[in-house]
Amino acid sequence: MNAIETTGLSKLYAPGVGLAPLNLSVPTGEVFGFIGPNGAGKTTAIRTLMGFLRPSGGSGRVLGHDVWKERVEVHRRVGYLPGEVHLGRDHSARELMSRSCRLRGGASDTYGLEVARRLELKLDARLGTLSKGNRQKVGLTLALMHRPELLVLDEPTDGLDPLVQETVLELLREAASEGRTVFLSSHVLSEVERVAGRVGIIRRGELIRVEGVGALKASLPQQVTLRFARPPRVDLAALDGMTQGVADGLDFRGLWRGGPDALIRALAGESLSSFSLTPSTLEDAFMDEYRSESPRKEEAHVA
Amino acid sequence: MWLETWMQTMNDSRRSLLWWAVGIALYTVMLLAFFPLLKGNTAINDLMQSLPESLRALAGDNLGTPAGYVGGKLLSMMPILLTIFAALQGASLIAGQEERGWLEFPLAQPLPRVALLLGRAAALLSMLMVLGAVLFLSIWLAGQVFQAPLPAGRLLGAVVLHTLGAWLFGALALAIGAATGRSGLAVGVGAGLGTGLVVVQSVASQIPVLNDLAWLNPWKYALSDLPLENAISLTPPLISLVLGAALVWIAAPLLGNRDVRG
Repeated sequence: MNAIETTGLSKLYAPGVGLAPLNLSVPTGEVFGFIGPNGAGKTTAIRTLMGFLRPSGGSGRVLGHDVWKERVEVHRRVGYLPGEVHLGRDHSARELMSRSCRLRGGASDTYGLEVARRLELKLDARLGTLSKGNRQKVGLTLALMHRPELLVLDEPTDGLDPLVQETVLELLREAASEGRTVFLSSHVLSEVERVAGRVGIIRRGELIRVEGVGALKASLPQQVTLRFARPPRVDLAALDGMTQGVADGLDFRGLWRGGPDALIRALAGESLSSFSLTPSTLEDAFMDEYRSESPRKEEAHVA
Repeated sequence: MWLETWMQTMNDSRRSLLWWAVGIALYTVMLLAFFPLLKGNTAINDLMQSLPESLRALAGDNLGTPAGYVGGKLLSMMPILLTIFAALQGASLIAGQEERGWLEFPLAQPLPRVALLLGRAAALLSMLMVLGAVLFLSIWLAGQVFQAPLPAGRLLGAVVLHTLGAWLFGALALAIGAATGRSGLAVGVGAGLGTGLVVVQSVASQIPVLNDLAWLNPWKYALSDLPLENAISLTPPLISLVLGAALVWIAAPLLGNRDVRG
């Protein structure tokens, strides 16, 4: 059974605004990264999966339960972190944890206390006195504390300092190693890259690409930067697989697609003083997806 | 589930409820502290008798007796105060909290939306009952101290009419807020209708058409029927109770079927 399974699930606020019909399967035990810039529809998709928003079309099942009609069952088995953590200012984290336990029929808070300790969260401070990052830790603790079968996390590391971000990613890897499913959204791609097995790229409410992190990166061009020791005889920019080649005296930069063999052979007779072939990060992939789009459409979309 | 929600809501509201209770008790004690000065002061009574009937109806009929003074000076303000409390609370319990993004936490737990609404409606009614009890006790005790003793049964009847009248408008605000998620609208309609009907009732005796329809106004039974002097019928407060509950019941499926903002 898939942890998340949607068929044409959509949430349109107006024609073209919101989440376009989404077809997505996330198998149990996977860490799935949902990436896109702010306003791409990640939060709308997540809140629809959580049964806060009424789908305008299609259907979605989370752990086998309909996301709208059986949302109480979904909530029983899912830990959720909202994109913006809004919690009453007068409560402490401890109070909210105990409320969550009582609303789950007297669940235990043992693991929640461990998560809070690892995140270095002050349990008894009133939330109104906490910084944004600390409130985020409260939200994370509440989402993780019941060891749910599925974690749905909207921008989990938002507002956290790098050390804590690392702790969060570690907690997520642990959850995955226990066979639990993690669905996280982010606009910080380097973090998704470090935990996710597959990523989905969402743009203007539309899921445009779903791929394994490895395959996605392999399909991306690599950056070639080199410096010749003597003026070259070969025209690198004319090679098959080279794009955006720019020669500047002895320097050359360009984007290379495919295996390195052809490139190395072309350079065999040359004398080089430096050479580098850098794999693209997901960031580059992402920029690529975004460039392939007409700027005029940009104005029309919100959400 | 709704019981847990009720407890959490009462816990969250205890500070605001405490201040309202203190305010009502202080207001009661201060007003009753002046009663000994008015008691048996014939000059004031003569002045009152010389006023036209419409003005006397507004000011309170018989300020020299405990029942006239408490009914005319003190309880006449309560429909307004209690309605404002009930409408503010009712609107904030669902819609106000939703606007702050506070509903996502309870609703991300396995808590049906209906149970959330039910628990919060029960909390609203409980808070009004607490204020009613404070009102009853402070009038009765201050009455003993300031030579304005009132029969406990009559006083209880009057307080029940006021409390359940306010419940009706608080439940209206809660229901509108739950159905639409808009707290401003909910407060406006709940408090506006509740206080507007107090004003309508104060002029009803002068306007025949309003007088004929006055039986529809819950405040008629609390204000014009002088519950401190006459025994009350239990029907009007029961109708307010049931009507308020019905409004919440109507709102429940609307809350269940709409988007909840984060």
